[in-house]
Order: sequence, then C-alpha cells, then structure tokens
Amino acid sequence: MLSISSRFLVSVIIAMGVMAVQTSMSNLFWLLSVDMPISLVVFISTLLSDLIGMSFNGEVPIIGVVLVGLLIAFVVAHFVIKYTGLARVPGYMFAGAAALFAIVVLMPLAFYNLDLIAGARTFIGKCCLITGGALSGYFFAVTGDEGRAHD
Amino acid sequence: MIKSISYWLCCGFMIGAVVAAETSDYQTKVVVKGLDNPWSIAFISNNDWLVTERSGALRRIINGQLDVNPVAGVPDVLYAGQGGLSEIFLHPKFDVNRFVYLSFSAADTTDRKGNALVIVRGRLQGNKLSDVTTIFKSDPLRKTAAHYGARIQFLADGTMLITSGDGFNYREQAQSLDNHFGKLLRLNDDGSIPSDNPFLSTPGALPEIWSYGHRNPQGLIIAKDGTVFEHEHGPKGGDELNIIQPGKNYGWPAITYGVDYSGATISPFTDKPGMEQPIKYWVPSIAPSDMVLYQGAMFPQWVGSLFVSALVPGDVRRLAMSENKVISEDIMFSEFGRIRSIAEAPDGSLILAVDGNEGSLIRVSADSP
Repeated sequence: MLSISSRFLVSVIIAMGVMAVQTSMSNLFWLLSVDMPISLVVFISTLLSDLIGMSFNGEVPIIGVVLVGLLIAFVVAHFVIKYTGLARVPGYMFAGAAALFAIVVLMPLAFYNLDLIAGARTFIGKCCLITGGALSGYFFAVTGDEGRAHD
Repeated sequence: MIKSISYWLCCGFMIGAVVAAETSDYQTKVVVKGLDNPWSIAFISNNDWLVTERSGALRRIINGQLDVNPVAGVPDVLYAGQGGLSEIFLHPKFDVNRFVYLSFSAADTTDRKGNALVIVRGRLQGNKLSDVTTIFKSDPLRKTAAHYGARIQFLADGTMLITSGDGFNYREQAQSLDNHFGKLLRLNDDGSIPSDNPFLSTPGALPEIWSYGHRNPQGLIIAKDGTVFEHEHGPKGGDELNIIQPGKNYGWPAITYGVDYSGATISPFTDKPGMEQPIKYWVPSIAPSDMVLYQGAMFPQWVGSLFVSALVPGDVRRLAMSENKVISEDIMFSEFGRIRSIAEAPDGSLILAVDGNEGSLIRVSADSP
C-alpha cells in the first residue's frame, strides 16, 4: 500500500486536477461560444498549462491552499472516524468536500465575493470543485489500510 | 593611451552632467498629508483644489491647506474592497455652471447584496454640493466590490466618457452589449444619450456604450486632437494602453496578454481580427491607476508625454509619444509608494496622489519647494 504521505499528495493532485480541468473547460467553452478558434491542440495545451499554472504560478499557489485545506480536513476526519465510528469512506469524502467548500465558497466571502478561481464563479462550477474534494477524500480513504477494519 | 583615457573620462563627465540635469530639473514637495485613500484630483484654480477620498469625503485644498471640513452634500458611498468615492471631474464650463461630477460605488436600495457604479452631478456652491442628481447607474448590479473603472472625461463636443469596469466576476459580460460591464460609455452632460452613439441602432445593445471589451479602465485622457487614450488593469500581466475609437471591441477577455491571478489561462489568444490591439502592454503588471497627457509650460521637455501612475510597485511611467506610438518609457517618482492618481495643475506642475489611509499629495515642480 501507499504511504500516508503519498496518498495525501495524490489526493491533493486529484483535487487540483479537477480544479484545473474544470477551470480550463469553463474558459474554453466560453471562448468557443464567442467564435475563438479552439483546436484540439489549443485545448490540450491549455489543460496542461492550467495544471501547472494553477499549481505553481498563481499570486498565491493554489496547490498550497488545497494542501492546507485537505490536511486540516483529513486530520479532523481521522479523529472523528476514530472516536465516532463513522465509516471511513464517507468520512473522508465529506472532509474533502468540506475543504473545497471552504476554498470556493467561504474564502471568497473574505474578498468581497471575488471568486479568484474562475471555474468557481457559477453554482455548477462550485459543485464540480466540491465534488473534486470528495473524490480526493475517497481516494485517500480507499487506498489506506490502517482503517479498513472500520468499513 | 592618455588621449584615449581622456576621451573616455570626458564622455563619462558629459553623460554624468546630462543625467544630473535630467534628475535635477524638477523638485518634489509634500503638499497635503493625512488623506484617506485619495483617488482623484480636480483644480478649480491654481490655489483651489478638490480631492476625493475613497472612504467618501470630498476635500478641498485652498492655498495648500486642507480644509478640515469636507464638502457637504456628497452622497453616501459603498466603501468596500476597491469601491468608494472615486472620480471628481469639473464640467468644461464649470466657471459658469459650477457643475461637478462624482463617480462612486453605491449599495442598491432594494437589493442589499447588490451595488453599482453611480455618477452624480451637483453644483459646488461654497463648500457644499447642491442640486445633486444621479445621471448614471450601472446595470446590472454586481455582488463584488471590485473593478469599477469610474473615470470621467469630457470630449470636445461636450459629451462625457465614463469608464465602467468588468466587476471581476463578470468578465465575459465585457463582450456583450446588453450590460455595462467592461465598457466605455458616452453620455450628454445631463446623463441623456447622445444621438450619434455607435450602438444606437444595434438590436439589444445599450445605447450609451461607446466601446467594449475592457477590464478595469482607470486611466482616461483626451488629447487636443481628439485622440482618446485609455489604460486598463490587466489580470496577472497584460495591463494595456489603448487608443479608443467608438464602436470598437478591445478584446477582453477573449484576447489578453495576462493570465488569471490563480495562474490559469484566461485566453490562449492575444489577437483576433475585429479586436483592437493595445499600443502598449505591461507584463508583469504595473497596475496603472491614472494618466495625464502633459501640456504644461513648466516642463517643456515633457509636453506630449503620457504620465501613467502605477500602484505596483509604485511609480509613474513617462511615455514619450510620437504619432500615437510609445517611443520610450521612463520610470519616475518611485520613492513615494503606490501612486493612485496623477494630475496636471493649471500652473503646469504635476500632482501625485499617494495611495493609502495616510495618503498624501505630492507636487512636482520646476521651482524651489
């Protein structure tokens, strides 16, 4: 099995990946709607560029925000699961979703409703990103063996 | 050998002398301190200035002294984020009609979460604004407190241009003509619509729109020959200096030289037929905040230069122009921090508004401080 740090890092990458893909897609679909020439090459290069750009080249590297958010959420989930007997998979899925909820819904409230992640400007976009958080929690839960007895 | 050394010493001395002359031909002096986020300056005369504070006060400076009492009658503003009291602009016939124009962000009276860019006109009588009427309110409302634009200028025909920003979250709306996000607007001085605006006969278009595809235009100046210079904040990189023509599309956000603050691509394109190119752009961003086209007598060497004030890292860019092209860029006044506004006083001195809640006005003059 993967070590806990490897599982956590992959979980962060999953959440970041969903965020980058969702942001790219929302931008590119809008560009298509105004007749900008989006070819397959442009599409793929933009996806790759956003994966790297959003992880490392933002004003605040979002990967750091996601990492801290998921770290706090998973630590809290660990203790909640341990002491309440909550099932491991839904517990971590909820934690991941909560972390992304905080990033894409609560954080903008501190910046006068500015959605710094463009993909999160719509309700559907916010739902996608929160689902990405749940997916990262699911991966973290199912790839670990220390808590499998709880499931 | 000695000849050669002498030659180079001589050259060095001459270059040094030129540099010294360039740097010593102006002097700076703090005129006023303790302003709360000064945003815009207007000159009634050489000795009578008005300055807006973003927190909502209109202040008067007479003979270099800040009047402790703000001008009365200024409407309530929404002071949040980048919003607040913004532009002050005097009517071209101010001496006759005493009209001043103010732009500001205001909370909506019915939708508590919504706010708008508002322009009012009032008469300055003594230290009071009277007959204050709203001549413009942006539509639709926004929930953000950013990217208002909010600059005002008058064209030679007596109509006024207003910059309206994209509201940050609503950037795609800058490409639609059915709203005020990311537009330059043209109105008569009473707020009515001029009969020769470019989109009057376009179905679904708002009749006050003059140009579109802008992000957050905070610099607007009109040259004597009618050329309209505008600059706008880009995202992360991609601040632009444009020459605006009616009916044209300036591309935001379909084309841009910047990327999103998140590091994401906004558009992989920087040009497209039918969308205008800037005459200059900045990567990385300088956050251009205001602009003046110098025409004064105090600095003949600067006549015709555009002075662009910048918030990041905080300086003024002097752009030497030739045939509406930028031929050089000098960085000046970088010792003061974030410069929110720049204006040319009637005597030809430059006035810089230094940003912050302990903001100040700096006078740049050729005479002794």
